[in-house]
Amino acid sequence: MIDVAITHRLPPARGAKGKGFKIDVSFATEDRTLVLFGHSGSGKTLTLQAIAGLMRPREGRIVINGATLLDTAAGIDIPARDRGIGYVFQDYALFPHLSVRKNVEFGLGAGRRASVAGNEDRAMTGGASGKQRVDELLELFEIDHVAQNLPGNISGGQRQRTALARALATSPRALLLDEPFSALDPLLRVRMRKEFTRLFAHFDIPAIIITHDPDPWCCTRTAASATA
Amino acid sequence: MDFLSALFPQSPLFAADTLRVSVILLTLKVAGIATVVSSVLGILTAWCIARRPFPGRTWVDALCALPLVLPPTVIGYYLILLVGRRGLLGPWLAEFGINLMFSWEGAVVAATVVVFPLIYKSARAALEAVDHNLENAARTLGASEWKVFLRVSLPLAWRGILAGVMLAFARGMGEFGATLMIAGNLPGRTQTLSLAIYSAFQAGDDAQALALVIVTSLLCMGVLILADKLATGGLSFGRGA
Repeated sequence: MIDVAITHRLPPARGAKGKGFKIDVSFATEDRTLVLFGHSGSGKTLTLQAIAGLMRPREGRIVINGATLLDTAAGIDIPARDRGIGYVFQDYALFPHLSVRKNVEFGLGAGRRASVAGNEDRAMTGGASGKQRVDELLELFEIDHVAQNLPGNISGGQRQRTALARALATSPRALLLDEPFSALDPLLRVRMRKEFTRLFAHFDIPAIIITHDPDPWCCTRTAASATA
Repeated sequence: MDFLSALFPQSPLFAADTLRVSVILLTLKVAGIATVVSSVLGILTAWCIARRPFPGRTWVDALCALPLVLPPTVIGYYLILLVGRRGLLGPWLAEFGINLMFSWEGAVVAATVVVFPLIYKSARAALEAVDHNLENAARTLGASEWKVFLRVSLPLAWRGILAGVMLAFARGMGEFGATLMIAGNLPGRTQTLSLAIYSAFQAGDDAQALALVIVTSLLCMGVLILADKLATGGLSFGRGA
């Protein structure tokens, strides 16, 4: 279950006229996959950043699968590192100095585990050690043969799969995808979309996807819009 | 063994002189320690200041850069007020048996302060140039702020930081004014290259002065070339398309 309600106001850019930017978004769904529609500049990315804890909205409430990540009225604001939210950035944000394998491993460091309630069902492959899990992910995403390469030396599709594998390695409670296909050419886009559908079925993880693709997914969708 | 007299046995410029070797070694020691200490302090300060705006940030930034523009004698004077025998911290340091006045450790303190802005400035610029999305990605993967710094920000900024560190070392070797004020000019104890050049010139020992000038120039050239080699020959990251 995903329940998000946030409002935020950004001051106008220096020298610009107008009232600045106001974002006021709320949505709730029982579905596994939620698609965020909207014009560019309508605050979709800001909404994802708020859910991930990278941006603090002025007020609001974010509950994912029963875990309250943010509730300004109750003074709850879990830091990003403890939210357990997988985030696939629009440009993938792969660490350019680390190999594909080290990228996927990054979140598996010792001492990490969210202190938030509701984590029990998050283990993807019960009992598997970190190394095994990384091996499985590399194989599943078909990037095992480029595991030692730096992200700058692999293809766009491989980069995207690396970003997704890295986000899923930590067994997040939800996955956020910011325009996952915008950086791919049309042919690859169709293929990756099919692959994603298969992978989401495999991982069974709630996901919020940003897109302005008119005919996006075969999955359940709920449109939400922000006001500018 | 004076390596220069071995290289040029005929030249009166490089006549064996054990004092001169000790001058070079002392200079390298003082500049080296000052650079290491300043690197740790400068990089951590840059990290704290680059992370997010806070009230008074402009003032702290200006304070950190101040030794770059202050005359070294002014820095030396401040340091005497601070760590001199009757200075603010002097009596407290003396309780631990530390006396910085007229000691090579004092020269290290002077050089550390003088080279600090070079490291701080380049480290701040390099850290601020790191893509924030990469740092945010690390946070969503559960990394603490310290881990974000050590595993993401620092490795991506190291080239720019290294440039500042090398510059600082070269500058530290040439430090004169602040060192003279706090450590004096004691041959064999606190006399570094630039002080020895001044003394030799004052004493009319032009051959000695010229030899030291050449040594200093070669050392500084070496540092700059090494810096360039490290920066261009090191890791190169392919940028994502």
